[in-house]
Amino acid sequence: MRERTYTYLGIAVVLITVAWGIFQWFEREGLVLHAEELSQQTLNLSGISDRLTGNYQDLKAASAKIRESSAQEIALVFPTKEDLTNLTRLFDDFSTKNNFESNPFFISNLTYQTPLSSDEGAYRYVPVVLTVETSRKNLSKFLEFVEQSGSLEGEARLMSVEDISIKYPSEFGGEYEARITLDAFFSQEL
Amino acid sequence: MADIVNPAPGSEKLPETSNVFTELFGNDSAVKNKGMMAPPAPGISGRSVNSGPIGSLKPSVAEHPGRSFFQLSLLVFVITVGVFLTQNSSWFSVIGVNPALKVEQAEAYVDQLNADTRVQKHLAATLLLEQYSGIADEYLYDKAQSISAYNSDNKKKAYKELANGLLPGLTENLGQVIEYLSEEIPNEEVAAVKDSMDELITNLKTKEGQVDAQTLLQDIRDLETAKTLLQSQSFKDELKALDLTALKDAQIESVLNQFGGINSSVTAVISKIKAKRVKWSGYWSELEALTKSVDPLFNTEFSGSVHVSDMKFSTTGTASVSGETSTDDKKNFTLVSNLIDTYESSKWFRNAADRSYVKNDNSEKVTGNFKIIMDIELNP
Repeated sequence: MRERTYTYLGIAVVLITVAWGIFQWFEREGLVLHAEELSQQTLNLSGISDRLTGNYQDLKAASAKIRESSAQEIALVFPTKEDLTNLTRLFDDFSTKNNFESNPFFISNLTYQTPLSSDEGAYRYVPVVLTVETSRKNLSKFLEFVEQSGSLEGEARLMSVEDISIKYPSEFGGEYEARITLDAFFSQEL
Repeated sequence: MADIVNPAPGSEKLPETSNVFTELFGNDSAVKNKGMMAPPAPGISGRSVNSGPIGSLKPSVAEHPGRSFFQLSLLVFVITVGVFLTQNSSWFSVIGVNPALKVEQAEAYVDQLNADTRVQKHLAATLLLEQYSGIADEYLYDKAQSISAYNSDNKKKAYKELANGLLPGLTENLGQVIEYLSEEIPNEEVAAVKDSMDELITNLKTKEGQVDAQTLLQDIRDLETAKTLLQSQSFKDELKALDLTALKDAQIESVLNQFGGINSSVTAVISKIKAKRVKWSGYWSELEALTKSVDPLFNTEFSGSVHVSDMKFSTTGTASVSGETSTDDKKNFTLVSNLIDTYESSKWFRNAADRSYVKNDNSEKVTGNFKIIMDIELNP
C-alpha cells in the first residue's frame, strides 16, 4: 500500500516536473526573443541618439553665433548698469525730433529716482518722472514709443509707463501737460 | 597429508555449518580451526547471511520500487528547478549572463537611452525656441511699425515687407520645434528624463574652472530651460495645436511670451517685462472715445457738455476722469451718470463711480464738477 502511494506520488512529481519544465522552457525562449528585440531597440535608439547629438551640436553653434551678434543690441536695450546718460540722450533725442511749434513735445522736467530690484531679482529698474508740454498727437506718439521700446530691432532702452496724469488744455488745440512716471530697466547685478 | 576430503586425524569435528567459504573450498579443518571458515556472527539485522543460497542478497530498490521511484522523481524535479533557475532568474546568474539578466540589463539600457534621447530633443527644442524668440520679436516690432499712425506710408510698407519676409522662417522654426516635442512622454517616464537632466547639470557644475565660464553658464541655463519645458505640458499642447499654414500675430506673441516665462536667458527676461507692460495709449483712446459717445462735441473746437480737465491712469489698476459738465437743461447729474454707465459698459473699465455731485446755477448755464474713478481691466 505504501509502495503504491509512493508510486503515485512519484508519477505526480514527474508530471509536475514535465509541465513546469515545459513552461519554464517557453519562458526562457520568450526571454531570449525579448533580449533580441531589446538589442535591436538599443541599436535603433543609439542611431537616433547619435543623430540628435549631431543636430544639437549644429543648433548650439548657430545659437552661439546669434547670441554673440545680438549681445551688442541687448546691451543697448537692457544694459548691465543704470546708464542714465544714454537714457537722458534718448529722451532729449525724441523731444528734439518731435518738438515743433504747431506740434510740440517739450520735456520741462526729468527726474531719476533710486533704482530698485524686481521681487525675484531677475532685473533692476530706475523710476523716471517726466513733465512734458505736448500736443495730443505727440503725447500719444511718446506713449507708443515707450510701449514698443526694448525690441532689439528698435534699439531703444526697455521701458514701461507706470503712471500717467494728463491735464487737458483749456481750449481745443492747446497744449497738454502730462506727468509721466516710467521705469527704465537694466539687468540684474552680475 | 590431510586433504580436504579426508580430514587430518585427531582434529576435532566442528559443528556442521556451511557458509560461502565451505561451499567454495569445502571443509578444511585447518582453516576452520583458525576460525577463518567459521561462520560470521549474525548481522545487525539479526538475520544471518546463511539464510539462503547466493541469490539471497536482495537490493533495497527491488524491495521498495515505489519509494525509489518517488525519490528519483524528486531528484529530477530539484535538478529541473535548479537548471531553469539559472536561466530564468536574473539573481541566479551562475555562469555568465543568463537570458533573464540579459533582458533586465537590456531593459535598463533601453530606458536610459530613451531618457537620453528625450533630453536631447528638449534641448534642441529649447535652442530652436530661443532662435524663434529673436525672429518673433523682430517680426512683431516690424508689424507694429507697419500699422503705426506715426509712420509715413512708405515706411509702413517697408516694415510690412520686412515682417512678411520673416514669417516663413518663423513657421519653419516652429515646425521643427513641434517635431522635436511631438512625442507624448508617459507621466511615469518623465521623472527618468528629469533625473537625466539633473545629472547632466551636476556634471557640468563640476567643470567650473575647467571650461569657459560663459559657455558653462549658458549650457546650464539651456538644460534648466529644457527641464522646465519638459514639464510645461500646456505650452507643448499649445504648440502642437498651431496651424502653421495660418499663423496669427496673437499666436506668435503668445508663444513668445510663454517661452519667455520658462526661459532663463536675458532675452527671456526682456520678453517677460514686455509681456507685463500696459498699453496706456489704448486706454486713453478708449476713454476719450467713450466720452465722445456721450458728448459728441467733446474735444472739438465747439463747446460741448463735457469738459475734461484731466485723466489719470495707474498700474495700481485705477483710472480717473475729472472735469466739468455744462448743460442748458440742468441735468448735469444725469450727464455724469450717463458717463459712468458708458465707461462701465466698456470691457476696459469696471466699477466706475462718482460719489460726490456738485451743481452751480449760473446765469446762462448750469455747471457741475465731476470726478469719476474706475478700475482698469488690465487684460481686456
